[in-house]
Parts: sequence; structure tokens; C-alpha cells
Amino acid sequence: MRIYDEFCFAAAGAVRNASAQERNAIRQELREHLEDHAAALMEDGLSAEEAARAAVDAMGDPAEIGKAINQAYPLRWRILSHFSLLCAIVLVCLLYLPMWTAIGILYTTIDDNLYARQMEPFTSYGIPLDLKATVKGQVFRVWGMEYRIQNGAPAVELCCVTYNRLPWGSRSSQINLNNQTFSVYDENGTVLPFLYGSTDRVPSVSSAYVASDYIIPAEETTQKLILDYQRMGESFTLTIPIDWSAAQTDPLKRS
Amino acid sequence: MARKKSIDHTELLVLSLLSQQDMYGYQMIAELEKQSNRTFAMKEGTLYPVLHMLEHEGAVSSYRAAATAGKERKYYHLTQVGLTLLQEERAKWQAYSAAVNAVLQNAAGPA
Amino acid sequence: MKEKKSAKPVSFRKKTCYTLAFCAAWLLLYLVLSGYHLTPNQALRSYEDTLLLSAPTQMLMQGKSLSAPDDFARWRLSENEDCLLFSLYFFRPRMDGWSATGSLLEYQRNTPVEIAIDHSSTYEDYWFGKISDPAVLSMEVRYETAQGEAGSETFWTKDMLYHNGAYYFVVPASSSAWVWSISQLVLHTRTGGTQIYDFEDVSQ
Repeated sequence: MRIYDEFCFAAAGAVRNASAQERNAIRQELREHLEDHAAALMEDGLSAEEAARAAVDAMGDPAEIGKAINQAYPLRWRILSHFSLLCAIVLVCLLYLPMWTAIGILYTTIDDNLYARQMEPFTSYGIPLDLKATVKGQVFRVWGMEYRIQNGAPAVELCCVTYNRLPWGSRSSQINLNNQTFSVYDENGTVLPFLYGSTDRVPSVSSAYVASDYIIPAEETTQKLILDYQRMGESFTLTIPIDWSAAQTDPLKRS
Repeated sequence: MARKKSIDHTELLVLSLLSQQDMYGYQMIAELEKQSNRTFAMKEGTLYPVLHMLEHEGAVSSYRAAATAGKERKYYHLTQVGLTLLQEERAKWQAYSAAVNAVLQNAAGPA
Repeated sequence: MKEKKSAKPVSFRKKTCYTLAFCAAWLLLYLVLSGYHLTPNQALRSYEDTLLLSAPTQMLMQGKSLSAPDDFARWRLSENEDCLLFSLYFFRPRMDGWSATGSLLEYQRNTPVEIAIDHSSTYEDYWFGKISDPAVLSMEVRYETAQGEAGSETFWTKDMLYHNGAYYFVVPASSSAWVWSISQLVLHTRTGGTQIYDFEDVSQ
């Protein structure tokens, strides 16, 4: 009934410190009270109109009631709510671009990490391998091999990649093949030198993996290459089988 | 918010009604009329400010529940804090009314 | 909608708490994703993790960079059983907070003196290392300048940190001359003896 609505809206509207939802609840509560009172009055014989008017009059001045209810709602939370909303907006605006940049970098890192785990030769003369060793959360993986002629002598090119064990982690460059941490032998125990091969395959912005190729001279009688890593108390050994009968040398690679 | 002095007994009445059972606003008014044998009726305009203030102080909690068939009302429930408050206010009221009675004993005129 | 009405209405206090929780979550997410380091130790530990060391290092000494205009640039020397780590750390509030880089000297040579040069800073190189012989009085660094002249600089062990029977030093590369390459390290002992080492034999 309009008379209820006028009263309730006026009373609830005076409760400035409550949120809109709380004001709705107050409005509803007051309306229900008026309806109950009017129902009781109608039992005594008044008509609906008269009962409604009497109920509203019995409540008193809506603005006064609203003001009195307002005392129960502290102003402090209203101010804090608006202030914190402002802070949130400022924060989101400030960090909007950096956040998306960070998400983008994470996405790229995971993408590159997955790529590093799946690298395999795409040429017909590349032999796929998947030999892995883990050192303190970094994985060293030999993913392929090619037979070459290096300075007129047969050689084997090992394609290696280092990446973090966790797909969102960054790589360390500490366990790439180098003279100080790796030794390469053939199955007779003869130490073989190794040379860096063609260009690093590191994409310019990836912190997810380091990919390098190494050329190791090998006789055609060599059946295996043994990579031995020792550093800082960590060690591993990888054995790479060589099958010269499968060797195909790409004439373009003769050097 | 300074606590109202206990001369305003609306709070005391509300708390004691709620200590009997959970009630909603209009039900309290009806109950009070019944229990006081129609001696006094609470001013309806002061009921809701008192209820909301008590809720803010933690003396009562509220919930919506079905009253009679098809009707839902906002019920108020007396909490432990409210119970303690009720006892304090009751003690204050009893001290106050005892003092008034003591003065009246000495008043002149027929008893 | 009906269910919403029978639940308690959301107050400003709850709204504030939710908003602040959202702010905290957004900030935390950003800090985690971007690798922003709030403290120097975070940055140093993160750098150490990339080096795959056998054990975390213990700090020996630290100081401020003398010539870098950036007030926040600091260095730290720390070691574990297998290596000596020289790290440089600095604060870039608008980029990634604290970040660290540096150089590692692995104890491999077992010579009385081991030295490495850190080139991380754009302002100066740092020579750092360890002299394991407590009887050494001074260390002379013989070098060649870019102009081809020979020069040398002497460092006294009494100015160095003495710890567990060894001397540890960190010096900014000689500023008196443009050092092109170091040729030799000469150790003078208390007893008057002199030991000469080629730079390649004692360095990394």
C-alpha cells in the first residue's frame, strides 16, 4: 500500500550509514511491522485503509525513526568502504599492465618449457634421443644426435637442452657442457674433446631453457659416448649409443 | 556511542522478552501488552532503533524465519553478551526501583 | 533472489573486508608472478639457486659499493665448503625490487691464494678471493695496463677479513690505472718468503 511505502522509504532513507542492502532489510522489516499491526487492528473491526493509517501514525515520525536507527550504524565503516574501493581501483590501474606483462611472461615460460621437453630433430638425418639427467632441479636433456664430418674426420653432434624441472621455473646455465664440469669418453675410456657447435638455439627472450649443440669427434669404431658430469658434489653419467650404420651425412654439413 | 541510561527501560524490556524466546518486532509489542496485562505498550517508534543498536553491540543476533504459514519475519535472538547485559540492566533497575520505593515509604499521605 | 533476501544483508564492514582481501590478493599475485623481491635476502637466495651450489652459503662480509652512484648497490661475500660467492645486489623499486648477480669462485685449485674477478657492475670490477695461508703478510697484484705498462698494487692481510684460518679479500679493481690484464700474484710471508703465482694458475 502506498501509505506503507511512503513511510518505509522515508524511514529507511534516513539511515545514511547503512549499505543499500541493509536499508532494504530495514524497509522490509518496518513494512512487515506495519502490516502486522494493521492486521491486528482489522481484527478489531477497522477497514483496511483506516488500519493502515492508524498503524503508520502509531509508529511516529519516519525521519526521526530513521535517524535513531542510523545511530546503530557507525559512519566509520561507510567511509572505510568507499576508501578501500578507491584503493582497489588505484591498485588495479597501477598494476594492470605490469600484471598482464607478468602473466604473459609466465605463459611464455611455460610454453618454452614444454617446447624444451619435446624438442626433437626435424631433419631426416637427425636421430631422436631422449636422455635426461637431473641436477638440483635442473634437467639436462640430450634430445638428438647427428653424424657429421668435422675437419675431414667423423664426428657426432649432440643436441642438448637445459631447463627447470618445474614448468614455470627459469633455467640455470650452470650445467651446460663445458670443460670444467663435463668429461666425454668413449667406451674404452679415451677422453674426447668437445667443441661448441652451431648457433645456440636460445630464443632471444626465453629464460626457460638453454639449448646448445656440441660436436664430439668420434671414430667409426666408437659404439658409445659417455658424458660424465661432476660439480659441487653432484654428478651424473649419460651413455649415448652410436650406430654408425645409420649415419647419414648431409653433404651440406661437410666442413 | 554512549550507552543510554537505564531509566529508558525499552532495552530492559526487549532483552527480557528475548530471554524467553526468539521474537520478531511486532511480536514483542504484542507479547509486552499481554504480559504486562495491558499496563503499558512500548512506543513502537523506539523499538527498532533499540533492536538495531543491540544487534550492533552484539547483544542480539537476527535471522529470517517463517512465522506463520507463508509469512517470513526477521527474528531476534539473545546472545550470551545479551544475557550478561540483561542481568546487569536488571540489577540496575532493581536497585533503582528499590531506591524509589524507599523514598516513597517516607512520603506523606495515605499509603 | 529469494535466497539472497533471507541471507543477511552485506554491510559496509563486510564490503571493506572483501575489498581489502581483493587488494591483498591482487598484490600478492603480482608479487609472485613478477618475481618481485621485497628483501635483499630474497634476491640473493634466488641468485644462489641459479648457481646449483652444493649447500647454501654463509655470509662473511658485506659492504657498499664505493663508486657506483646508485646508493642501493651493495656487495656481499659468502662461502660454503666448495666455493666462494661474491654477489652484488641493488634495489630497483619500479622493476623487480631487489635483484642480485655476481661471480662464483669454486675451490678447485688448492693453491694458497685463489682469486676471481667479478665484471657484473658497470662501474667497477671487483677482485675477490681467499688466501689460505695465515702466514701471508701481503699480496701483490702485478698487472699490465691498457697502455702496455706494467704496474702493481699491494694489499695487506691485516686489512683483510681473517676467518677460520684464512684471509678473505674484496677490492674494487685498481682505480689508479686501467688494468688490462693481471699477470701474477705475489705473496709475501711473515718469514720473509715470497711465492709467485701465474694468474692463470690461481684464478677462474
